[in-house]
Amino acid sequence: MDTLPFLAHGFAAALTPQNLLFALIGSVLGTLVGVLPGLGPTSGIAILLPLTAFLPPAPAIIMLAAIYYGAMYGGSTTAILVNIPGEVASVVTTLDGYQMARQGRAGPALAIAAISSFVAGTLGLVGLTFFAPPLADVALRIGPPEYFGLVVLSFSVVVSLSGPSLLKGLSAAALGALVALVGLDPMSGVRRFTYGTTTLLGGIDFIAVIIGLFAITEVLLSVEASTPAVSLAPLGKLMPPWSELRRCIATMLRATGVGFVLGLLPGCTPGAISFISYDIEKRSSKTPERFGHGAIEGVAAPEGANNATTSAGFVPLFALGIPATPALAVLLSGLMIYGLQPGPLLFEKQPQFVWTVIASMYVGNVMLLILNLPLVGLWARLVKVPYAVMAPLILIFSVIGAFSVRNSFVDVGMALAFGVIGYVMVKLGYPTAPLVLALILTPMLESALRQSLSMAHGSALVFVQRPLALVLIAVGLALTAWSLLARRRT
Amino acid sequence: MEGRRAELLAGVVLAVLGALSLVEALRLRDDWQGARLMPGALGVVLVALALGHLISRAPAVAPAWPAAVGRARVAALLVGLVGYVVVLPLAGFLASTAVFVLALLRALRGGGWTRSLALTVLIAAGCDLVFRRWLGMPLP
Repeated sequence: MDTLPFLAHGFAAALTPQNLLFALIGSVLGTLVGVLPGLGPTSGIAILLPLTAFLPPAPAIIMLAAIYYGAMYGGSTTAILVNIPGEVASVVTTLDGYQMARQGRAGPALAIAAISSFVAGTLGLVGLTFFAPPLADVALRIGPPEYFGLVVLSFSVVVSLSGPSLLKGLSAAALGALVALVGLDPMSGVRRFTYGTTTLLGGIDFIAVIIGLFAITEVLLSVEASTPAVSLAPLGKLMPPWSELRRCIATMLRATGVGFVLGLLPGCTPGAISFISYDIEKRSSKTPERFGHGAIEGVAAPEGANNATTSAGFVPLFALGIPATPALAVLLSGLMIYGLQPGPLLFEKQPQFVWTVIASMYVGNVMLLILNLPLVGLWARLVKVPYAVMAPLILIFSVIGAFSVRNSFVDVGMALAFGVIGYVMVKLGYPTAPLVLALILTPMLESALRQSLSMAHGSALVFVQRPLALVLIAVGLALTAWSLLARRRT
Repeated sequence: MEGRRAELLAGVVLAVLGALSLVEALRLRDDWQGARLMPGALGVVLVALALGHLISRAPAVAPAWPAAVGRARVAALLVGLVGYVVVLPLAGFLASTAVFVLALLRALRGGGWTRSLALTVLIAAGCDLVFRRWLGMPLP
């Protein structure tokens, strides 16, 4: 087993002052990118990619990778404090994290987000260290029918996110699916729902929708009530009590497993995986009714899952040269700039580089925990900032965030429109989470479905003939039926 | 009664969206396993959900609309926000942001002008420094 000596050499290189410095810079920048809504890791890495040109390959990639996983840590902060997900993967964190903040428990929510991110991120790295090549080989065997099965499985989450009315939850999901269809058809390239305009050709951007549904809606709700939505109660303890931490251990391990396994599959985004992890946690809880009302496991699960996903994404990237997410695609271009061709031979031809980057990710995770835990008190105090000051800040960040996606005021207009839609949905009792989930899953569903039908010459039997696809579809349908029965009982 | 009316309205909106989706599916020049598949299937789902709303017998929950004062505050904020977005490309980020922040601070906080102006300068100049100058965002 050559892994441990290689890893030891990697640590020796990762702990040199230069590599440590760039891991630290990347971690800090990543946290900032995650905190700021609209500025995601993809654009963060893309902006900084030219600046790394003067660096040798290892410190450059160490810094860019740290921005990626640092953004996953930072994304939870604004999700918990002001109901604005800094990152797509943090959307589901708002469900319980923001409720905890409103109950005066912002500190424990932020702390568990950091701890869960650290645990899952580090365990994910262990998986990356020891199983990268064989796992990548398995992931490569997953074809469009199996992806379709996975998306069907993911869609079963809609039922448990629907709140009191299933009809309203399904309607919200259908609205999200409709929004996802706007733009160019992913396979044939024909225009859909663009009505002769060119502004809608690129589709309705996901970030603009999230900013509208969460940030702008939240400000409208708070302004209407003329009272701050956050708690006026004393902040209390900043760390969660041991009893809660103990309860979250199993949650973090489950989230790591879900995040790592699904994160190996290209196209399975951290956003979708965090929803699945949340749903699994809710289903396995003895008190699922606490979820959505400030359950600490509801923060630990998605935050753990999205960080495990981040680590897992490096498996197909390094072992096969396949980027699992857009951010990793930009990172891949960074590798290629340096003449490094990811793939099965990377571990053989460039062992020093690969193991230095992997070792630096362990170090980066520790840095992020050290950076984030002491900052919990500072961040938590943000909820005490008067709402009259917070509201303009949230709205300005929203406008900048929506604009920064494509440097277009059309996206800002979309964010405003979805702010109003979100406000009306809340007032009429329609949940917004199924809309977001459907917006994430519909493009994956459409591509997988149509590719499957195409490869089977139009026969839907392909989903029955492929055992794994059949199992995933059956499990998805069974979970949906289980959720429907559970709803009927309660 | 108000809750039932809201559900009927939601049903009509969903029916319209479903019809639009079906029309779009028919408009596309492709087969039903190609580009027409998703708009067509979603159109059927939306129409089914619309029917669900229209014939639902479940007790309807009344919408939680705010009182007149609350409605006025929401409307004023939306008008201000739309105005800010319209003026931003014309007046530039710093000036339009400063006016927007000052207006919002005065409306939400009241109190002394000195404090409002100080906060306005801090927020507008701070955002300009971070986003436009440090991060190099192409804000107007």
